[in-house]
Amino acid sequence: MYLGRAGIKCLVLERSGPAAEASGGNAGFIRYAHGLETGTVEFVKASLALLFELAEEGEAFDLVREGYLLVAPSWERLEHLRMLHGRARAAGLKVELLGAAELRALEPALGEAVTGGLCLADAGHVDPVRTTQAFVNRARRLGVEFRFGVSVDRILIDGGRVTGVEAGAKFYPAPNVVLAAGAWSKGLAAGCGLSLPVEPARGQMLATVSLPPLTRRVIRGPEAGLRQNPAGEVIIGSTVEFVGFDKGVDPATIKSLFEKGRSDGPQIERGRRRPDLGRFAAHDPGLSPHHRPCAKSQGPLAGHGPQPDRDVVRAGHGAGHRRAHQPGPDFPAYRGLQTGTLRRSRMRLISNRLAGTKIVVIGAGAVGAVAAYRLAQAGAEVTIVERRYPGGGTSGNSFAWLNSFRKFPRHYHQLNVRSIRTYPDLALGLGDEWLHPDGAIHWAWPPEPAAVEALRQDVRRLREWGYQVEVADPEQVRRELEPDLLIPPEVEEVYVVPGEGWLG
Amino acid sequence: MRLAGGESLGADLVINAAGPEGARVAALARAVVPLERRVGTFVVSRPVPVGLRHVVHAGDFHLRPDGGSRLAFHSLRFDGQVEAEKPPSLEHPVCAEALRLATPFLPVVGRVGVESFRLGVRPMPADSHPIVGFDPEIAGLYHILTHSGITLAAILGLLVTKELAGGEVPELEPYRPARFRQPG
Repeated sequence: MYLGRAGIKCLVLERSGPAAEASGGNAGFIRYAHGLETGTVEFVKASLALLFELAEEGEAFDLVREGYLLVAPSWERLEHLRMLHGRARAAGLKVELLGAAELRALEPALGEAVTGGLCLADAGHVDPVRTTQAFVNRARRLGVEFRFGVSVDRILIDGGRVTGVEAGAKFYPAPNVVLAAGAWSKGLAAGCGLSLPVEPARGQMLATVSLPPLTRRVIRGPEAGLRQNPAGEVIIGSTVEFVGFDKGVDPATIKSLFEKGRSDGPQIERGRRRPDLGRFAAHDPGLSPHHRPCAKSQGPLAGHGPQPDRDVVRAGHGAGHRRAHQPGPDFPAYRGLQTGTLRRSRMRLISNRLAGTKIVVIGAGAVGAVAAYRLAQAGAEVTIVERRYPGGGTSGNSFAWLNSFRKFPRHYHQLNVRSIRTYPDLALGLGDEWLHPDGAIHWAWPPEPAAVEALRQDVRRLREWGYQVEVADPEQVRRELEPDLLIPPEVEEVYVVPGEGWLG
Repeated sequence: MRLAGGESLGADLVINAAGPEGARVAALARAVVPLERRVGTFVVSRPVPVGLRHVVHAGDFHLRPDGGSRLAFHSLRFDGQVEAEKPPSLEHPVCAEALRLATPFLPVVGRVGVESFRLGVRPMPADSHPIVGFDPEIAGLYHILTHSGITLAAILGLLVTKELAGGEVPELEPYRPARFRQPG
């Protein structure tokens, strides 16, 4: 659409029809929350501004712009929302932190478990299929040609330059190719020698039968979100499951989504009819499981492919609104948590449940200091006793890596993963100059077959556990991540783990 | 609690986060935690003109940036070569070995040399997993002991606070001190 507006001759090739995959089969939330979580809020703001502009020009998105409500069923979650609140304010968004009573006044149907929430006023939801169709229609009016039912087999390269694409037996010449094939982008990129860190992720959703009006907002708990569409259906979803291209529907997951939606959101069983789980069916085009493209750090990828130099690589997770945005920041492959976006903010007491409790902590290493800090936030009177000085023992003399890579069994791995993900919150209260979550790189060394296989097995197991470990080729790592690092030529496989790192 | 200087501190609860001193601190309250002291080392280079950002794991040799343009090197193999808890010296063969191992990946390292050789003592629980929770014998004594203190500090701080504030923390169940109790 924007290419058409810029007067660029543009042909869109689509294997099936508009919004046939992730763009159609998603919950339709338009939100800043993901941007706040991942440090890409300015990008999201710019994209939503374009989307709202299009809606004001009369595009039929079924846009409901009445707020995005993040609810917290626990004080830990509420603390997280406080952190997001700080970031949202710093980004200039209209945002309000609400206590349980205020929240229930706003959304009387909310479940009992909710302790507080965060309302982002300028967000909401769209009908994703109508939205995609509107983009297609508008692009057509701007002279863009669409060919549906055309499945691209290859991107053709000659002499380091894109020459076009091949679909069936037909050649479509083009000086530039925009790769926006979502979850299928990686395979197409691989066909022309590019390694694109995008994986398919299955998303399952649930739709109820039409219910009386419950809410105009998106209500999002920690595990699932919901919206009610103009037809009265409550859409609950969705999951993110790294199961390859499997599109199976799992009844247990659907039931669990229903339970999550019921506990975090409006009490949907108050409707005249109970939600009908049978409404969910794989043949329902709007609600079938879909494959969203998940990039590393779940951020979008946009920009010129590193090689060859004329094609444009673009894929993202969150196409519901990012689709409306013109090319974004530099190719952010392999970026872990983005500490540069963290801001200092004053942490408030997370609760007063330990008020009046006197606690002595022996040891001012990392463990004792964080425990003391959190206990004090909960109202305890804490004294730390330390033989030397803060970090004067093991903590100050540690290699200090943040790592979940070889932590077994699974529960221990998960504890480590959770901890690493908790660090940005901690940094928010303490400054972040000590936190370096820039990722880790692994290779077998010396690269003997047994060592290579052992590392592969570790990676396989970690991936089975849902841990993000990416395979990269050494040249790509050197080019994009660590230009000063020499990876010996006998190393064939390198693994990149975003989010791990070290503490200073 | 009575401090070495004679001062007394009253408390509803004492948290043992004494790291490698954890067993000794527990013993002050006649509690027992099965915790070993285990020496760990790493080597820090002089400032190097390379822009490394990631932690790099080449087999069991690890290197990472260390601030001020320095690099830090570590290998479990180093730990075994160090005499227990003696102040380390730059003459120790481990320093030269660290440079030798790093040079294939960052050739400039070989020219700048080592700035420091650091030694720490890890608290290593008997089954190598964290020990977190109330002591099963001594009321009011709560242990938080782990050899992954840097990685785990953030979550343990939150979970322990949640538990002490009356919350349920099933995540900590595998790590309770009582798991080391002998049957009967």
